[in-house]
Amino acid sequence: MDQAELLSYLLDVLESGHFRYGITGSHATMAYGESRFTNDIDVVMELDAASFERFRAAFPFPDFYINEGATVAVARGGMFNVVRPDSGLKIDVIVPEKDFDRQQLNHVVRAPVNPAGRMASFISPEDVIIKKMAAYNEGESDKHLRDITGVLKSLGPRVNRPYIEQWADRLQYRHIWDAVVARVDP
Amino acid sequence: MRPVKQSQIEVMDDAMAEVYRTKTSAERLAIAHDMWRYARQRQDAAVRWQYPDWNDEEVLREVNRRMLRGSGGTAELPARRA
Repeated sequence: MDQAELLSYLLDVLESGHFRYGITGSHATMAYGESRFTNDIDVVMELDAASFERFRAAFPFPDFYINEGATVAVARGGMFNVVRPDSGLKIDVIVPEKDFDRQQLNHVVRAPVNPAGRMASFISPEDVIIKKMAAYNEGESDKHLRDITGVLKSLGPRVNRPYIEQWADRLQYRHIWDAVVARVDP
Repeated sequence: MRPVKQSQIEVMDDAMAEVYRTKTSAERLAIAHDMWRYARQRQDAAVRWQYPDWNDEEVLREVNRRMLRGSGGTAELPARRA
């Protein structure tokens, strides 16, 4: 199973199961901006104990491996992994635990994921940018900053900057946002 | 609060941005999926070169381990079964 096939399989599960979800992370920034290598597919999902059992049943061992922290992530909010051992691919499932994470699912964007026109729900460009600032602020790679600039340069004025500024102030990422904007709009 | 310097922010150049503006989300994702396939091919070749005595299963497992490590090391493959 390659990455495109895993994404398609994940979407089969999400759409047929009527899960409330949004593809996020680099797969979302790539849908709006610049392509790059990634080994992960990140998805924000609303899950409770019952819906998690339905989700888990779609990813049986040994074809897939779901890490042991999954039930805790579902109960309290957090992240768990679904690994495809035969290809080294990984899905990161983010269960919302904060106000910002929950509200992202209220304004997902439907966009095609393959040449056949298959549609998927993506976290909005603005919310993905905010999460990328969070990832950078938490000490992760500078690649998140490039993902942000890729979206800003590709979408240009279609990005709702006042919305990002509002959350950047609230979450104390304003210094990151200002630095990125200064780089994109010198 | 993690500081950020201008010099650490990479920006794609204007010509590439113009190219990406002409592409659909599906086309952008297809490029990324091709990159993933290419990275696997490169890892496969590297492992076979480094460990010429390994069989296909050993090579596959090492390639998968390296690919997962490249994703941030937040997941591990399940233990090999007997």
